[in-house]
Amino acid sequence: MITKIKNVEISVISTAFPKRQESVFEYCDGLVTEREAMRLAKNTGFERLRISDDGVTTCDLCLAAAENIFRNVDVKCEDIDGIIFVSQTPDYILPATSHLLQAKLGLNNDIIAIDINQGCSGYIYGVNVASMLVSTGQCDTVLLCVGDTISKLTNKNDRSTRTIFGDAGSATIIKKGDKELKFNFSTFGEKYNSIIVNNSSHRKYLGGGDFVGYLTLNGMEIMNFTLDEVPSNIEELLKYFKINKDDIDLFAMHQANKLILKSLCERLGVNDEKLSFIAKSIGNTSSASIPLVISDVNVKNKILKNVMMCGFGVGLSVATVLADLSGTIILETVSV
Amino acid sequence: MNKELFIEKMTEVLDCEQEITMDTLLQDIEEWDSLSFVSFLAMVNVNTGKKIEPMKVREAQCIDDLFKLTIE
Repeated sequence: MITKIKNVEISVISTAFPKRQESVFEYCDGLVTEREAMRLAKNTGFERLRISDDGVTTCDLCLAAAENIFRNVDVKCEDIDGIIFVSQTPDYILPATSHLLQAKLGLNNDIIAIDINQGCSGYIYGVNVASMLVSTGQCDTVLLCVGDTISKLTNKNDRSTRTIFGDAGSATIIKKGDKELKFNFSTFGEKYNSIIVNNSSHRKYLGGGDFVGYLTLNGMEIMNFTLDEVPSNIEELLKYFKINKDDIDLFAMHQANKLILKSLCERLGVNDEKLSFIAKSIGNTSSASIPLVISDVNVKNKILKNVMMCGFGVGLSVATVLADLSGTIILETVSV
Repeated sequence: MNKELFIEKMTEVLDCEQEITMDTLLQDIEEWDSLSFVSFLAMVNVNTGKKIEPMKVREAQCIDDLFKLTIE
């Protein structure tokens, strides 16, 4: 679904990850040999992972990212009239984490608070809903909090998940402006089973296995899906809006793993300067990975006039937004 | 992709020290595991544009079986 939203701007992006950083080999003690860890790192690209301690949740990481904005940028808590929290690792099934953040940040009571359940493409969903609130005149300034602590859902005996997932949170200010955001969403619910945590809520899984209650991935299905659907989603958007691929300054892609991003470079005909893997020492942080790409030190000095942000994965889902971030304040990532 | 190039690409996919030929049995390659399955799919997709069914990758017995999947 292609759509555009006018009269908005992404004015600030802030990110946070846990202080704790583990090498894949040490974190996966007993699960992989040193040689396997090296082979994995060569393919997935992940050498170290940001892992949240038991007492640290996605809410805490997003809170730190949001506080970083109020500390360093001329945006006040009382300016916020909408808060959105996007995650698949909320504090509770109920109440909504957006409400917890409203209270912890001391935001006004007369604001709208929304939780959205989305993962790898969640940042784009959040930008879309926040922009709609602003463009319809319902809100002036929306605080969008997006993040995940997927490491808490990985089984310590599952090499395919334990070796790649890290944790992070983000906070973004979306407000009235003179920019236009161009979106393309694709939804593939028939592939829901490719990335799933069985028995995570009310639908009971009747099959057995050691990984029930933990995140499971079907790697081959996801690879085929990604290399088919991500390039077609992006190319469809470019074609619809008559934009030349060469005019895109940066492809800020979900950091699924290095092999996927390298293959996407080939499929899209884009070099790795424009479509980078930056998560070597962070891990796959699900919905937080796109703001982390924008916040990466190597990206900061680049021209960010035409930034294609693309999330893909759980759902399965692909979501893309083309945005002008040339006036966006991008804060340094904080450690919690 | 001809056989020569395929062997070259498979050596990269497997990242193993042993020499690979078209007759090499996959069960004899320690590195032929879930990571290599995914890496194989990516390599074929990027080089030929083909999407191979995961089941067919699991059923392959030797390197030549994998090559055949790329030209089917």
